[in-house]
Amino acid sequence: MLNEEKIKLMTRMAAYEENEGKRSMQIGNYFRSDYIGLQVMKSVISATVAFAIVIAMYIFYDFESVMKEIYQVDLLATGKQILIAYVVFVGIYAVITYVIYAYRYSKARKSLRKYYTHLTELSQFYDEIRR
Amino acid sequence: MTNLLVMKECLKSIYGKYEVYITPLGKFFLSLITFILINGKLGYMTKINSLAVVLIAALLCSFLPMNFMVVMAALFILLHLYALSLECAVVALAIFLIMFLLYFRFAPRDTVAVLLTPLCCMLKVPFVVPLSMGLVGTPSSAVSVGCGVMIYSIMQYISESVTTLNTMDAENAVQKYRYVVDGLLNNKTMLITLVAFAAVVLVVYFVRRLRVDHAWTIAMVAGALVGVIILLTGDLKYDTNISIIQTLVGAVISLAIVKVLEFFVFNVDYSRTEYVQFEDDEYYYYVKAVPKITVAKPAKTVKQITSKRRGSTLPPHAVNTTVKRKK
Repeated sequence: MLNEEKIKLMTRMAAYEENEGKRSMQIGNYFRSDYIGLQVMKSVISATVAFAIVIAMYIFYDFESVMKEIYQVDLLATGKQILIAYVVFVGIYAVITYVIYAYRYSKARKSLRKYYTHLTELSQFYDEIRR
Repeated sequence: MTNLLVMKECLKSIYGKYEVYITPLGKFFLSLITFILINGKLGYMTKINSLAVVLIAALLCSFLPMNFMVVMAALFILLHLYALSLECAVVALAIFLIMFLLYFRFAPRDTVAVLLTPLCCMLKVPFVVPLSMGLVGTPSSAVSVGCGVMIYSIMQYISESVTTLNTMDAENAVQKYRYVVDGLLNNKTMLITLVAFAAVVLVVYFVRRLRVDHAWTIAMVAGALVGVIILLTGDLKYDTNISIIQTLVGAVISLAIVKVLEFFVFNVDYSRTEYVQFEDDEYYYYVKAVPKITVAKPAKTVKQITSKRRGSTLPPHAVNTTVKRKK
């Protein structure tokens, strides 16, 4: 027998699974620390690449003077400066990433909770049928 | 007013019915306009500066995700710049990469703003995107709009300095590269526009959230005013040759466009018809869920058709189901 209420519930759940639920479910597969850790790691990599691009652009911009001064400047001190700039930049970016993804994780969990309530309702339907 | 409301309902029901065709068609026209404008502005590579290529690209964009359109537009820009000079293409590529790596990883949906900002700037209605993003976006949309301004400025600057770039010695790559980077870093017009647009997004966002009547309209007007004031003050300070009349007229037209958008797009829930498939122990279900129409005719007595449903994630739906028994 077709149960109209059950079909409506299942339709809603299927629509959720296909739309906004897709992302939440992906996030829901992770533990909080794993998810945020992974995203921070990705951020560190992309920030490193971005930093490298900026440095490369700077070197190419001042190519002649960089080539001239490369034997005169204190390479260790310059390296240290660049390293500090890199650490500060990546650090700030990683903190921003942490905040954003921590918020997204809690939001996804909240949205999934609703879905789980629907799942419980659905299982109740089955219990009723069995009785 | 009643006619407008009826029209809104009609649009809503038409969209609900034909969403499958309307969305790709909209994407097709948006990408078509984008590519034509890019070709018109830059157009240095003759191979992609033809209607056939533009049409094929637009057709591809119509059924692929929105972000593909952004990638395609970036590709068009890079190819044109490459045809002009390798250095320009390298600078643009570096800027695109930095934007992608640092910002759009967080907000992939905001890429639309990056596409639409240069588009509206080219169409001389620059405030449409910052005003709209303030209304429907978040404060972080200011960054997306800012990125859009940067892309427009790159295109504008390079298209203005084509003759200088062409006269430069082809062998002296560093000089050309420096010329492009200097031009972008010292571009005061870009800086002022960037600040103005970011301010517009923030002002509109915070004003529209106030608990006052007509908050959205007040937000729009306040945003446009702030934008115009910053642009004109910046022009006075840095002498950037921003046309006062064009800015004012552009702001008024942008306001009008956003007001229309607000009525027909932002305040309407274009609940789509859902096609879902699922199964239980006995059946396979192929369900078409059609949104219910709430207001149909300009009658004085309003009949409430919607009924309450517990804990729903979707608006009330009329469920049209096809069921097959499992074998």
